[in-house]
Amino acid sequence: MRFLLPCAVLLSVAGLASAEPVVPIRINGPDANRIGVTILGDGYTQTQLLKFSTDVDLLVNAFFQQSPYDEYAAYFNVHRVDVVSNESGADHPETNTFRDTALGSAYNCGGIVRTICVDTGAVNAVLSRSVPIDARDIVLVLVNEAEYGGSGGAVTVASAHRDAVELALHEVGHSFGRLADEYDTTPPPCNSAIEPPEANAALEIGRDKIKWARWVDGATQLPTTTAQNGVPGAYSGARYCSSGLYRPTLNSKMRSLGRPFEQINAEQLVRRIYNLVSPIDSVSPSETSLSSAAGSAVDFRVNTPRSTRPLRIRWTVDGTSAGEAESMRLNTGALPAGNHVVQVEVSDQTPLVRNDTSGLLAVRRSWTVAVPESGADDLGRALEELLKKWRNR
Amino acid sequence: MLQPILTFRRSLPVIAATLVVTACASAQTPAPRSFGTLASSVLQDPGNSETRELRIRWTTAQTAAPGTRAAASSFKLVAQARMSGALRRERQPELSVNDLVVVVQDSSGRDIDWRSVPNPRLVRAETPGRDGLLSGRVLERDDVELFVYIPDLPGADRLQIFSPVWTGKEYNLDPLGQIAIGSGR
Repeated sequence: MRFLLPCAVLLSVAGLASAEPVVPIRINGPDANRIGVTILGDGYTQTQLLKFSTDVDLLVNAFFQQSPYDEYAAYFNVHRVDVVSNESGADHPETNTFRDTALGSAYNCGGIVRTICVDTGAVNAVLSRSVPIDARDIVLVLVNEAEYGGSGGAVTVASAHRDAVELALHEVGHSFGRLADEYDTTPPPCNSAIEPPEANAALEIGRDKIKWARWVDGATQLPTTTAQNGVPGAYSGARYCSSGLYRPTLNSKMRSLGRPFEQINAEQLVRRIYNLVSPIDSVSPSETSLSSAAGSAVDFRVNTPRSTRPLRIRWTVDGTSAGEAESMRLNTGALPAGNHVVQVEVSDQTPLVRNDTSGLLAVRRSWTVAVPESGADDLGRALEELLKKWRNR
Repeated sequence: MLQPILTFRRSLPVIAATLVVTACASAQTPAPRSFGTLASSVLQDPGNSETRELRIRWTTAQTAAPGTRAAASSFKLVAQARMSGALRRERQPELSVNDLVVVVQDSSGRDIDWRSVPNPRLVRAETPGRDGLLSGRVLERDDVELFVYIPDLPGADRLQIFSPVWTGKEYNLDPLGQIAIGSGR
């Protein structure tokens, strides 16, 4: 299809806006293989940046104290961006109070007193000029206000109130975890006519068909009517429907703040972590096709994220087990001439995940090692020497 | 009735060597499509180390009928810039109704890349009761800036923008609009 309107493009060279200081808070590995959390401050003046630093530390510590983020803290890099506002605090339109802040934080968003909205254009502009693109999978704005408040969406917003981290965890459960709300009141509208897309809400609750079937004990009734926390089942009421849809546990953080995520949500969050983070950071040698003289040794190594529960490493040579450490030495003297396949598999055997149909929790790398005939090997070495001498003439 | 949430009271951030595009709205919207088909037939570019940032003004008009909102969206490319660094590729793409899907096409209409991006119009306003039990609403902004990051691929010509709609079995992509982005070179 062709466009009907002309598209006029002008080139303008604009002045450089100064980038905001980006401070690493927790660095656990390469940004390319970590989930990047970036926290921007709003309503912090130049003289309040130390308070911002303290508030961020409190927020980050509280965030990573909760499962499954505590077990997988090493899969995240966290940065804070020292955004300076002209005035302290946030707008309170309900009391006709307005502050000149960098990101435009305002309570009473949509007429809801404890909802804080920010100017997402301003947030994105800061990210654009200051934060590397792979360091902002989760973006959080921390607002310098003691009053509880926040919101979710493309940007998670939380005030500096100590309980606001609970709201941030819930909202990140939506944006990062793809989790549904488990409360059963409207609005938003209830739709119990179709199976929901999220991992933690279900229409179909047959014992073998419910999404979280692997978590449901055979003795647990479906639907589940007992009122015991932490027992996977099918509890009536989810995703704004008081009936017709079911949630996996009685009361999780996707229903009430101050609660744990519980099994099914934690499983989904771990899967989401592995959606972006490979259990292999790097391997050596980096080349996948190697040649090695008969009788020599080749050292292989795999580097993995440091989770609280060690990952399982399995080396094989031509399908035969060859060790379970991070490094493996291949002695080609024990191998006949020809091509040989070295493979390492790194997998997470965490009990937090029972359902990994996409195989996100395991990754394999392989190498082909050519072991030449010894005569051919001597000839190859002689040719290499000749070539070296010719290059050094 | 939602109140206007944000006004653009700050000057746009400036980026060196920014391309300012004055009128790149498309007169036509793309056809609906299946996300499954898109994801299986168009691989996200894995190794490009350069990224294009597209800043798009997205406005939606309310219909005259009370309580309804026009589906008509207007997109206008405000600026674009190149930046170093490769985009992340999800190992197992998983959509949400809170996302948008953007498809990059060449001048012949061939899909060359796609990305999911958070829908900047949506704000989740959720508050707990005394016992922690949440209740909430989803607010929608009428006028937002959509930041889209795509690999800096040769031949990129236009961007199609979709909203995912869950059918109960899969996501269909509901077209919102398309804009010309040019090669940016």
